[in-house]
Amino acid sequence: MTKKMNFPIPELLAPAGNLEKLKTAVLYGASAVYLGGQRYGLRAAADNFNREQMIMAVEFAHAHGAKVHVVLNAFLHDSDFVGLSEYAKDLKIIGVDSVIVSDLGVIQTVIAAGGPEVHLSTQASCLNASAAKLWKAMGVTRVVLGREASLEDAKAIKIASGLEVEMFVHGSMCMAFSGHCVISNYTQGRDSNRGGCAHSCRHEYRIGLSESEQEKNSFFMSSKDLEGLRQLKGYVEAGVDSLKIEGRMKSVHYAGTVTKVYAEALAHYAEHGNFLSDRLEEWASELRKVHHRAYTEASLIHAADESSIHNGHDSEGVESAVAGPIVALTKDAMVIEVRKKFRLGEELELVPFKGKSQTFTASRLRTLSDNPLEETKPGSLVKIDLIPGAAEYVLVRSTGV
Amino acid sequence: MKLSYFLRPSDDLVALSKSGVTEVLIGSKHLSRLGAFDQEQMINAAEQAKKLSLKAVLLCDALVSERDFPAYQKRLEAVLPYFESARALDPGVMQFLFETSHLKLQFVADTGNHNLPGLVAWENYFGDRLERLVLSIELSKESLSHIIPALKTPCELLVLGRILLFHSPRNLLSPLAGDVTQSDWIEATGASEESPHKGFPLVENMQGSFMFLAKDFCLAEQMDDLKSMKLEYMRFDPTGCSNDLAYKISSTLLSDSPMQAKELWPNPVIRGFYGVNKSDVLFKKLKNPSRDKTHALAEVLDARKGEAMTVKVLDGSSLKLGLAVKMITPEGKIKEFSISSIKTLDGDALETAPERSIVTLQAVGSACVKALLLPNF
Repeated sequence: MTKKMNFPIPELLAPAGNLEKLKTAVLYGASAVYLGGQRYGLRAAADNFNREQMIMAVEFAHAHGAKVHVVLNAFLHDSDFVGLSEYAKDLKIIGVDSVIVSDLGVIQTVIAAGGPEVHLSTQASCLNASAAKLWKAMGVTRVVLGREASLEDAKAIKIASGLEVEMFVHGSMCMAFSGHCVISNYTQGRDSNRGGCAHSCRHEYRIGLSESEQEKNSFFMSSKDLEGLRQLKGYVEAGVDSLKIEGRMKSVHYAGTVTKVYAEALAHYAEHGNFLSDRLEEWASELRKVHHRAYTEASLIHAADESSIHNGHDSEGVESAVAGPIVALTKDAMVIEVRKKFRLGEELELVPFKGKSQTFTASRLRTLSDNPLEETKPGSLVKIDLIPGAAEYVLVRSTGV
Repeated sequence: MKLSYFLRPSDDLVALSKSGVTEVLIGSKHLSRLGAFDQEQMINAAEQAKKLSLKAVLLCDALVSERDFPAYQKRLEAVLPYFESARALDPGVMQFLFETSHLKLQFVADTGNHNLPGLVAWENYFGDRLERLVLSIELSKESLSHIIPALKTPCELLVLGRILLFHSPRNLLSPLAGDVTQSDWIEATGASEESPHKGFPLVENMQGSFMFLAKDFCLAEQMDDLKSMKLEYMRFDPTGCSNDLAYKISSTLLSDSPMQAKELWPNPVIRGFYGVNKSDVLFKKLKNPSRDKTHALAEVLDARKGEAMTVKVLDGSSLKLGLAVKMITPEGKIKEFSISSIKTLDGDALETAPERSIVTLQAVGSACVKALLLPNF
């Protein structure tokens, strides 16, 4: 556990799909980030980091007191091992703090190469203390528990194994035991455990029940998203060392907003020793402003039941609320990269790295060539008059007013 | 090669023993993913199997949460004395058996474990107690040929039976079944509404929910290959097949004409990835090559017809006046030009733009957001 202020709090581990998201997450309060390199990870379609970007990521994160964990969590075939030893050595040289691995062959290779310390990926589905002891013997220093583990499980596993324990606190969840789904492999020819998951569990299926001969359409394999905000006390009391936010493929807005909520809640605990903040409802409301399915606490307290199934297509978040991040400041304007259309005179909200959001009016909306605009177009850059608190990477949202 | 058979409560062990099967895998509802025995039936089956000189292997391949582990352990301990060997998937169950029993261990290494270094590490960890490695059917012939001879532990591979695609601990079918069933074993079929895939067999039981491929796995025609690799055990999962036919298929698999087992099997079959596993070759198509920033100098952030184009200079790069560049749009269109103007967002003229800066360049036709600028040598 990292020590901050009066009461120790866990690491807050945020997803960093690219350098922009990494900086956003760190500036909004992540104490660690996880990211993928060009190979050996599970997000083949993500931007991922090349060596130069990885160096910059480590420099930036470390300069802000945050750690960098690199995912090497694919289940590799023998032919995939080419270059892995050298890569692991290089990650150590770059200053990466740990690698997150699910495959025993990769664990052995990283350790033999003298690479960074090894955290066991959730893909290995470590669910009990007995398994954690085995993985400790294999050389890992931390286990990222399977999402099926409860907070009580985490506590018992940590005590029995003596390992650091990491758990997901927020984000999308596999319905299957992680690493135990190969639907994509056989239906799409894409190895889900080497980065090719096609998210078939999110499809609608027509189910024919043998016993009743009924047929029903259902998204029966689609899980709601995890939200652990109201269980943070349980995470801390269980001694969980790291709280992980899912979502390397998600937006900058997601990275910033979700990180900020959990960082502020943890900061409150660090100062007061409790989560009894009058901002709790505000934080919960913030988590509803990002793209998400309906939320569940999944198995944090009891085994996930029927209520954890997301039986629908649509996202319930209002990602539309984002206007865009500030990408630059000029002498008299902030430059916003527009993600969602907004109009001149519309009420917007500046989301500072810490503290409450502040509303302002989109006045003097203009192009970068200072041509006036009535409304913005997604994908463009626009200028708005500078307001106090504006800084690069700060998010600007529409309030819908 | 010897034959390992996934035993069902309805099976006739006498008939099975006559078919030439070497061992039976006996799994209970509480201890295994798909076993259907209760505890008493399981013990009886193990004792009867032994009398018939069939090896009885305790199938305890459930994935077990910490909260369920004490109860699981108790159930396991109650049946261990009736078996010589136990087969587990959860490393925690393996560790428990390793520490507290004297049984020979069979490790189900069919989730991941697609490489020799990992398999050797399991072998080294469990040492002499490990009597079998159950390999993944995602391994190709080429991989199997390389892996099996390099391991000192005898290996096993499914040669005929279901392909498990998905295992969730959650009860996914009972919410759909409603009051129709109070059964602890629900079966269904699923058809995707968003892809052409249909006929997935589904099961919900005490261990959660399972989905299988509509076609079963069959290597009956590849027996010579498997023998030449020195594969010691083949496994037959008779689910979906009548008892008598299952025994006939068992003896056929062990005969001089094992390929006939494929004809006898009642369902359509595939060889899966046995021929070749190219399940990673599509990955490059997941990425737009026009978005590969590896060699890019800058990315277009804003472009309006007739107006200066705004770019962000990428990390480790810089732009300077006169530089010849090639612009690639996300659609792959290419435009070549030289940089004739660089200005800050405040309109101040620059000679060069350093990394990470956002600057405006001259107006360029067909420029669009997310286009990349690359050096044009």
